[in-house]
Amino acid sequence: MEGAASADAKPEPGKIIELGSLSKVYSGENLETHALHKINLKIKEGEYVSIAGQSGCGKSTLLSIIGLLDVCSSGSYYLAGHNASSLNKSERARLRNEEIGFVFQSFNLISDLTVYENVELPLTYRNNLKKSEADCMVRASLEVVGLSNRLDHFPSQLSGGQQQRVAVARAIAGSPSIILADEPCGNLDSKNAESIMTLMESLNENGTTICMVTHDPESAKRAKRYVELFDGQIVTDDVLRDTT
Amino acid sequence: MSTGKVFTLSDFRYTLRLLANRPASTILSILVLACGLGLSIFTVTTATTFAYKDIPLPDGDSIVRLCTGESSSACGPFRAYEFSQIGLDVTSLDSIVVSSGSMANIESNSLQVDLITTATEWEMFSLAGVNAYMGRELREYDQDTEAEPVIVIGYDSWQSIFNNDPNILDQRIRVNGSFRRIVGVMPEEYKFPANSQAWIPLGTAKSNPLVNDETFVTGYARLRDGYTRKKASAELDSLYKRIRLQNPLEPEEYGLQNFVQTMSANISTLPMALIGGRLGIMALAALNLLSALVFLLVSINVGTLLLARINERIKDIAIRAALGGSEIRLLIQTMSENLFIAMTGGLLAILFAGFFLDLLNLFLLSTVAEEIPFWADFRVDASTLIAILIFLVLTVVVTCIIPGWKVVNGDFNSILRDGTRGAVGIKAGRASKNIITLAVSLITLLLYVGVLSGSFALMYKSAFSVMGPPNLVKTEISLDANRYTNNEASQKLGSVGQQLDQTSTFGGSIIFGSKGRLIINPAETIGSGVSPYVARVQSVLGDLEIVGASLLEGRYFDTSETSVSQSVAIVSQSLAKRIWPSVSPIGKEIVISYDPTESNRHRVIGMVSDTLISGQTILSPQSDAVYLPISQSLHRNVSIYAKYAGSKNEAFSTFREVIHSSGIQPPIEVSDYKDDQEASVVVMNSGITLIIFCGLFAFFVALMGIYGLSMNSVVMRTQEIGTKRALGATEGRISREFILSGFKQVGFGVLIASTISLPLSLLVFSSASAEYLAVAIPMITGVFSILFGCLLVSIYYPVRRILQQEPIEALRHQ
Repeated sequence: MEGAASADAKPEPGKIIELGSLSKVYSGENLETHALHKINLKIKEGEYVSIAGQSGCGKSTLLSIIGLLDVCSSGSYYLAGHNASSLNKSERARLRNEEIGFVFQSFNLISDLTVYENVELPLTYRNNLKKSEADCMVRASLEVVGLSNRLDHFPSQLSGGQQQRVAVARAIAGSPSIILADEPCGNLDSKNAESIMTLMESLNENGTTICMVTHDPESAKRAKRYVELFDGQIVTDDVLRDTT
Repeated sequence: MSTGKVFTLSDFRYTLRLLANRPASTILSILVLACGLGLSIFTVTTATTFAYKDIPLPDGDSIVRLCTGESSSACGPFRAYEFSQIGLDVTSLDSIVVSSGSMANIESNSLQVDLITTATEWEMFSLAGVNAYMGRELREYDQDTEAEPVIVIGYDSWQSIFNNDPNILDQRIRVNGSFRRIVGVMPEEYKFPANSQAWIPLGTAKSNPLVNDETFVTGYARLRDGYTRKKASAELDSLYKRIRLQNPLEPEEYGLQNFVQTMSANISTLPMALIGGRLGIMALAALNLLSALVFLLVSINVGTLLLARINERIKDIAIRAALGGSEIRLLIQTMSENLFIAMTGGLLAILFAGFFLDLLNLFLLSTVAEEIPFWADFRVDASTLIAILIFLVLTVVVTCIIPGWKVVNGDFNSILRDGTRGAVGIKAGRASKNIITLAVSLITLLLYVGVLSGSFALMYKSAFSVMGPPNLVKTEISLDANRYTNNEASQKLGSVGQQLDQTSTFGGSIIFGSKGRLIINPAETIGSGVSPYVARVQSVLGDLEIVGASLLEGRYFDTSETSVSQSVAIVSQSLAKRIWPSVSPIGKEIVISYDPTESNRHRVIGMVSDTLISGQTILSPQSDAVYLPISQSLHRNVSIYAKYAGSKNEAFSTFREVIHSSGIQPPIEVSDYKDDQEASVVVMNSGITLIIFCGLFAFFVALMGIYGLSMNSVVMRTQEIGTKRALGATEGRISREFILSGFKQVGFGVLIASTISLPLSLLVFSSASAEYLAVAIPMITGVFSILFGCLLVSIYYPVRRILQQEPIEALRHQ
């Protein structure tokens, strides 16, 4: 399988994500759930990877660990050359801010903030970014998603599709190395879903690395690489289209 | 259309699950309600019992006390002669009786006790409408001059002194040294007029006075049908003023009309008469204000906490409405959770209040049992319980039914669409913030009022610790005009003073006869239209030094002051400075508006330092005083003080012996001046302590409310914290953001409250003394520091708890 890596592997140049024999176990009072089991996965710059599988197979857990929102129980994980297990909370926060853009199934916009402020939010967490630079980045990303005319709207004043586009604009505003999308079309109708998928493809064509979790086979097959999980293990890892 | 079942077992289980899901919030809500409402019940019951409760006698609400406004207390006594004149003409009152209470020394076998004894007209028992438990009450013939001396004792005295002796009737006991026959025992609950333990017939000097001397009595009566207290007060006041003008004690040329106009008489309920006076009214007002503040605080805290819970469930209600739940069922489901909290909190509040009222009863019984009037039984009564129930129902209606109704009958679809995962809905979020700001504003406003009045309480508490000079043994005697001529009375007092001074136990003595507060005019201003001064005037014999009135200029009185020599006076420093600010008072002449038969022009021979002793209350320590030699201004009701250095018991014993040996009758009650002062303020001191404690507790309840609301608002934003962390916000950044936003909210609330209360604060501070400011300013600083500290903790800890989780857990938070 392409991209398989051993647990002790060192980061390779050009690889943004490198998981080596990564496992995640949830421990309950009387029960241990193995959400992920010895996952080996490498993702290169410019790739568009879809991670598919049935409900409960570990897709979202994998994405959470890749996005530094959760920690693995064992194994290794390198993000843009950084060993995730050696990072403290502040370093993880900085990496999330600079290297990763999130798109969630339920948008996760802050309802008290306007469209502009929501998109600006990750940029406000950067230390050396001037206000004017941030403004350009916000407007540019909203331009990309076609919402530059809704700057002062609140999320509740937008449709579901528009809200998800705001979430995409927020994800790309800081020019991250990779966009992690967790069921980005899960809450949308087919028309809005198509619009978001097209947007993703367009972003990838412009060089953005994308890793998307989906349970929809059609959406999954629009990616360039298809990874399927079953019971916490990778059972398929196919290149659908050549990325070179 | 049928609405189906309105509340099912599954609804009940769901309610319990909601409560159990957030145990901290549930417990906090119940505790705030229980503590706050409990405190409210406690303060309201205390104030009601002290001042407004009907006295437990047949038709008790029509029994009233007749008062004058002459003394420092709001319900002063009448001159016996004047009262007898008034009584003849009153049409609004029935069964008017006079009495005079004092402590009497009872001797039975080898036992000697002091009992509060009321000398009363025989009609008092029919006025109260209570018959004797054993034997009889006093009868008309008991008041005859030649009648056998009798006494009626109280049930408690019968039990404690006479061990329930069934043959108590007709036993003879010594009362103040004279034998009296016990003719009756009153029922257990009978202590009329307040806390009396024995009753004896009133002497003719008081019941049927022939001269208008300084013999004072207290009057009681029943309102006649058709008359209100206001109407009866107006009649009494008019009669009183007429009698004062007919029997002038002040010369007309010194403003008699004006002086009489400042006097008044009124009708009061028994409780109000007892707590009356500037001090009592202030304490009662403070207690009432506190009750209102506490109740408002409770309402705000409980209301906002319950409203916050409902606010979080708005989406849940909208989902249920979307699923087709009937209106009534949705409303019942909506309020079931808060109804449970309200009822549990209410029940606990009643138990808390009951427990602390029992403690208060025990405390009073163990400390000031003799001071407690018979109606002062602190219990939660039926009307309070009904008021609590109404409050709880109103709270549930306002906090549950109204918001629930708006959701069910509004556009619940927009609520379902509003907001996204990761944050509360925009409406819920804003409502939550507005609730906190509103709560903080109202609480701050109440804190301002609380702090401003609490500072007064603290200031007065310190005032009570400042007592007069120590080691003074004291008694009060009356020299009957029928028994002693002026000359004899003067000689008798002189002889007592001399004997006390010659006794080695004492280091000096003084005899005071208070003439009350009178108009003083410097002789040089008579007729010039200059406003007169008012000062307390006292006849004295003896050493002013021992009561702290040290000589500053001139001399004390000596043997050269006789009834035929020039009338002289000593003035207090404060009065001298007011009348003659830049010159010495020595040699000046003052004119005092009192009995015109005496010489009223006095030459000032001395100036002494101000003293608090005699004729003043600690809260109104007017130091302006004029002292006259008793040889020139005889007074028949006097207080005798002697300074002792050794043991108190020895001083008491020697003091009694000296007074007895002088042949003054009846035997006297002896006490320590400082003990008396302390006893007189123990209730007030306890009351102020109670008020301060209640105020602190109310503040604690307010803090609990703010803590709960603030913490809840953070927890509601857990997903927002998760989202921000996903976007790369550091922990420090998130903590700072939340704390800053919390402070902005509270700051805004404080700003609103400060603006509203600014006029009140300015008013208080502009007229406040330095002493008050010294208490109030640190108190305000402290209160607001604690308020902001509480806010800091209430935000920081929940935020830190959420930050300790992995971001994904916060994102998944429901």
